[in-house]
Amino acid sequence: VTEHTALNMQLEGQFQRGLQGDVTAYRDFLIELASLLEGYFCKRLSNRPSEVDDLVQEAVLAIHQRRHTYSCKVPITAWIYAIAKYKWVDYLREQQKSKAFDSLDAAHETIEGLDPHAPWQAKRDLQALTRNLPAKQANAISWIKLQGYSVQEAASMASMSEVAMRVCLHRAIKNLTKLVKIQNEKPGLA
Amino acid sequence: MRNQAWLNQLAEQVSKPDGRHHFEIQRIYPLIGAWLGVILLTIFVLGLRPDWAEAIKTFAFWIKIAFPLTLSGLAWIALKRVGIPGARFQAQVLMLLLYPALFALLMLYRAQDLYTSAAIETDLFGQTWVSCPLTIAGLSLILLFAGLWCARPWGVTLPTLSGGLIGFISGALTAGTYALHCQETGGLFLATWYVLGAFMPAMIGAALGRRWLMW
Repeated sequence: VTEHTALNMQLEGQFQRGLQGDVTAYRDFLIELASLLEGYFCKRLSNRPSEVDDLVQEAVLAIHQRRHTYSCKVPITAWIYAIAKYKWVDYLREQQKSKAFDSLDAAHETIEGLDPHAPWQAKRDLQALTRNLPAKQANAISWIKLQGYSVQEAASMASMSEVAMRVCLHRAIKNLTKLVKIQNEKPGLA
Repeated sequence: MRNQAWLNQLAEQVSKPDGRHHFEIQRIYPLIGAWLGVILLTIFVLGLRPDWAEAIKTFAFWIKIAFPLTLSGLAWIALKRVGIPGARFQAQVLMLLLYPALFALLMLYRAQDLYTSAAIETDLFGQTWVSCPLTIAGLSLILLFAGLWCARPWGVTLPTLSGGLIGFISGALTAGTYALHCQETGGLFLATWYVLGAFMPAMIGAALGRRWLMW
């Protein structure tokens, strides 16, 4: 407990002197802060050490930018950890969001894996299949999967948002999968 | 350490003290301005209650103003704790919830003297139990937006709760102002519909705070 209090007093002193314009004290504070945060995020991200640095930087920057909002009513370490936790939760939320996109990306991979040995034939079959899709979805497939445009480029060509384009592509792939299944069951259809 | 150079650069940025602090009064000028707007709207658009000259001599009139205003004061105290990253705020939030509950109990106790259920019904519903909370909630949106705008630079780590409290303050301030127009006299009416009028913007504020107070 005493060690904790000592750290608090040291940090608080450096921080307050920094706010008064003492660059050296503030730099010492930032260095101490960065190592505290490194410990905090390392514990939570032991399997992804590359992300720790990013998070530390972001949290240091957040604290630096909001340094004027610090209130002496709370111990400075409590303040620091509350902001670190906030950034951590934010990071997890972002992760969750990009995971949703990852699964879309994984779905794109399956279409490429349809017929790896005959890419030309696959392309022709795919073109025939896309005729059964709504125009928007057919375009998405043809631009991104057949002509090799990026999702961003395709989105701007269709003047849609990138997210909408990803969703459109995802739907197109779902529909295609359905079509392929139908075809496999009734070979004479298409 | 790899980041040393970067930290040095940040440290250089620490300039002269500028004494900024997030709860200083000048930083909530937009909120005060919005409240003045709500007061003016109440007086000139909704209109003062026609019997105001008589009403200001009664105790009930001042309770109707004082109860919501003290409620918003408690919400402000709670927000000042919730808005500080790492501060304890449980006691302040508990007080904020207990106060209207105790007030409602007091009004229930008082309503015992009314004996008949019809009289109690009048005490609870009055004439305007639908329009009252809706008007309060609608008017308070002006305050809510101003409040959220003030709070953006604070850097809160609990954006949903902070947004909710800002909404509650907006609703309670508006309710206290709306009392200038409202002619209801029931104690239960006050304890129910005025508080509900403050809870609605609190819900909206929580939903908006979740998005707008992120940083």
